[in-house]
Amino acid sequence: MLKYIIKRLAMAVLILLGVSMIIYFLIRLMPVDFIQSKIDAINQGGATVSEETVNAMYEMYGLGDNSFMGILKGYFSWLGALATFDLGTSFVHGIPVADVIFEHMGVSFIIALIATIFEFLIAIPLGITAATHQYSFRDYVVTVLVMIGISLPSFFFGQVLKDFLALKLGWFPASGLLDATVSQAGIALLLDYARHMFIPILTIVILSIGARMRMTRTNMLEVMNSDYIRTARAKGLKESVVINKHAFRNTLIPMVTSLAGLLPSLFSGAIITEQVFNLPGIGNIALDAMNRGDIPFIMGYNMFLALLSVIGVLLADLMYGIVDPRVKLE
Amino acid sequence: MSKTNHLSGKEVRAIAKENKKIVKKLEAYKNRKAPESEYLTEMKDDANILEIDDLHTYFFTEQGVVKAVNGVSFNIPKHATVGVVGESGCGKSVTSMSVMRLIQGPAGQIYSGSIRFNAKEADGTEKVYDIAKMPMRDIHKIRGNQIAMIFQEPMTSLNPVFTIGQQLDEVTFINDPKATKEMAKARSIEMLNLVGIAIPERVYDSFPHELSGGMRQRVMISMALAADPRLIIADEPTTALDVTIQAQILDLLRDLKEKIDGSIMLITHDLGIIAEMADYVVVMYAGRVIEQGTVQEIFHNPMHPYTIGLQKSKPTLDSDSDTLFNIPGNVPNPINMPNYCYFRERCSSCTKKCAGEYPGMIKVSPTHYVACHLYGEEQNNG
Amino acid sequence: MEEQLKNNAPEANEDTDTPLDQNVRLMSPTRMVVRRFFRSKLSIVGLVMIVGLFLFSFVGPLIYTQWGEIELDESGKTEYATAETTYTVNGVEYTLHQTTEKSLKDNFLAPPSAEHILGTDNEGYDIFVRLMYGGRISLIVSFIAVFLITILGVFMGGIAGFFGGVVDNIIMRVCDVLICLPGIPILLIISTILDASGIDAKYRIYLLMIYLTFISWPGTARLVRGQILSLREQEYMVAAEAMGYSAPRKIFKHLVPNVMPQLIVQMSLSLGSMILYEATLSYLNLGVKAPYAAWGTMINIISTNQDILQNHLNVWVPAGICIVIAVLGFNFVGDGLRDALDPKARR
Repeated sequence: MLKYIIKRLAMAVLILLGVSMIIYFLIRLMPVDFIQSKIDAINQGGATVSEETVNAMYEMYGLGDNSFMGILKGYFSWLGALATFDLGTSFVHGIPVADVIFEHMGVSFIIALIATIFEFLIAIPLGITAATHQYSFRDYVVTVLVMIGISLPSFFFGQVLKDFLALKLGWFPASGLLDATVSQAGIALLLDYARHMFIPILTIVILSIGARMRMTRTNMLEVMNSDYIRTARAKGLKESVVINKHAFRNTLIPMVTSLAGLLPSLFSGAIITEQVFNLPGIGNIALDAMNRGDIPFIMGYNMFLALLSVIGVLLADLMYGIVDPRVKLE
Repeated sequence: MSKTNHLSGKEVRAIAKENKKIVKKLEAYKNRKAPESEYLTEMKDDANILEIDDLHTYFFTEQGVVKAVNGVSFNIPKHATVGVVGESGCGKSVTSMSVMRLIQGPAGQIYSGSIRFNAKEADGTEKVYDIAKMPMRDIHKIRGNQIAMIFQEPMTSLNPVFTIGQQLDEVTFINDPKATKEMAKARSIEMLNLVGIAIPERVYDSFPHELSGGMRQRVMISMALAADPRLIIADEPTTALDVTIQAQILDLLRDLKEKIDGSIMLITHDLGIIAEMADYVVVMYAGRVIEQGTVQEIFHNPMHPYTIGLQKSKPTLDSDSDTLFNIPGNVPNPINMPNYCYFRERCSSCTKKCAGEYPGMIKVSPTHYVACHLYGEEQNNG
Repeated sequence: MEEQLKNNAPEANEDTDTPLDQNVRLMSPTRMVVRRFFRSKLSIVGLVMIVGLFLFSFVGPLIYTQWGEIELDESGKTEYATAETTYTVNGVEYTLHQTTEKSLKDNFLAPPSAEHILGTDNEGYDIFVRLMYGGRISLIVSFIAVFLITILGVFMGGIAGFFGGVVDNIIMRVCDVLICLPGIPILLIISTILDASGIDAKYRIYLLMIYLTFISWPGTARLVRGQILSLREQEYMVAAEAMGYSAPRKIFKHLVPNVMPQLIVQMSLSLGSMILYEATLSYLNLGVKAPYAAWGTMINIISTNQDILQNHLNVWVPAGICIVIAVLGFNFVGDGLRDALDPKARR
């Protein structure tokens, strides 16, 4: 078991190295030049910046040499810093990248967590009834809902909800996380957060629920056709026990495994949704950073995502070993 | 098969439409609520534990109606072992599944007929249910505690995520909701002991995948025994096992037959097993019973050409010929079965009569019946 | 109950002469697939949606030629506003006639009318026509991407599964890396790189799709590889090997029919997701850029213009509906195909 984990971790490090290299080279090819825009800003302010200062600035940010070797050098210095757990300092925010990530991760995480909980609470029972009443009216309804859920573009559906629930009906605020015009505390503050998060969460839940229902239904159907379900029925168990105990426990295996796979989406922030509702989550910050060429932050954010997905895969395998007694990890 | 023999689109749609109508009706019948009186009945003969009477179990497929069981009738006397034998696809498993009401809907349905079962209630009184008419919501009255089933695939018939103990205890709890955990465990261990498992405590805590096929089949048998059923249906219990393990399991079943106060319906394609285990034999072919009788009658005086063929095709050491006898051809696909003896094309002793209608059951002795034109006119199936 | 049923009893075949084997009439395999596919109403709905969109996007512009994709409606009227102001200076009344000329060259944000079926957008382009051209882009781009993904995936998966060993290991690790690349962020980066490289706005979306191909092939590759590996375990493959069939022959003869159904299903489902990807990119202003039309681009305007979001639904809602119809259509068809082609599917 330990040997397996170590082996998998070593593999994960290799994968992350590959990912980081690709991302770094791509970023360095990006034409959005933070320093140029900074210099432009200074120039606009009336001051002039000498050639030397410009070069010194490029040098300071480690962006002086755009040849292949230069980029490679930059990559290794980034990697060296990473070895000491230093992701560098964000150009835009002027504070360490790790701090920026942690600062904005909370909002994204809370939204994603609540959305995921609702997603599971709604999708699993619906998926199960669809499977146990295959080809019935219920099944049809669930199938159509599934399809609509996975077919809606997030930006469009988010905007529709925003237009309808927030702007037309005025039930919820259209954007942001807090009402800045009043100062609140305690319960009122919490309620205000809740009001602002409602539509974004609703958007995410409706968009993600389809895939989850489909997964539950497919797994459940497969389990319901297996021999041990026939045995359970032959024992004289009531159909509800057969479904809720014998079948459900088996569908849990892929379900729990996929839960671990959700890890990245819990922390990474929903870029589009956050952009639509202008939430100060990490996805929105990353979008902004990318438009402004904040290389250390983009690098740090992307690596954070890659790390999460690597951990997610590893965790999924470990969970598999826990929920399925047949699986022995080697 | 030539191309012209394929179904046309119009026919396919007609089949689908017709199927939908019938299945809907049958499903509604299955899911109805009904008072017990509606499916209480009387046995024809009180010496029987199970009477299958003109059972039709059909599968409504998009290719047409597959009459997997097409008018099967036979009885299982109390304390007897009845062997049901036939080639694969002859409907013997479907018959047993019909008795347990485990036919997978909506395609598979008991179309008509009755399955009378003499159930013994907890207070010792006897009640006769017509299983074919029971609504699904009441089916737990007979499953497990009255009729238990041992399946063909021990490897997949146990739930992989529960321990043997958890799955065995369940049976006790169904039977006796007031049972404590300790009582259930004691009962389960006792059952494991009964089926000859050496270290029952260890098996009790094992998961199915940790056991061998033979061990799993023993567990399945102990599970069937745990509720003390009146009838055990063993559907090819040894087919999936090694030959040596097969012998062990058969020995076990034979021992158990002595110990338990019940009947066994043994389904197999292996005549050797039948000869060793059964008191009565039912031979099935293409969804129908073609011959039935006591084990002596069937083995010493087989009458239907198919039964004779079956026995000839069994390898024996003292046989003079060096090739095995085989019955030419295959079991016909039971869609659109015509109304003449299904065995006609494979039969070596066909007569003119065989061109006519499907033969009725002919009484040879009080226990021996055969459905073949070779043996005179149809008599009343008394 | 039983009596009722007896009446529906399928009649026994009275024909006593045809041999049993020929009496059985089955569906041909093709008919079976077609029948299974059309059994589900959803597949039919999906098919209608897709065919409809294709006609709308490719045939539509040939029929409806009033406006072009990037043809501005310059019929904006010149309005004259007259104002009269009366001054009283030293007891004498003066009336000042003031006429202001307000020239609107472009007829923007026009409401739906006979002239413009769905009105015009904030630039003065005809929305209905731009929907057609947007559909062209979406459909072409996603078909190309899915085609490339399938070719690359089958090729890589085939190599990995067939050669095994080191080759397999390398390809699978590359897959791992590609799967761990965060999708949208990287697309954002690539898009800005494309911006700077001065590539024509018309073609950049194709380049992005090539990149999407590059990161999306591992799914197909894994599918093909898995199929090959499980095929090699099968007895008939061992038998084929024993009979001395050559390697390529083996692969083609057995792999193609085994993996084809799954590939077809995956292709139709990924068509949907490619359309979503393209639309999202265009929405983020990274895909198709103005003045060219794409469904995503047509929705993009509302992220900055609250007025259009609230008051001019005709500008952005139709594009969204088109996206939903396209993706839904491909998903319905894909699901129907899965049911039809999966031999395990039963009813």
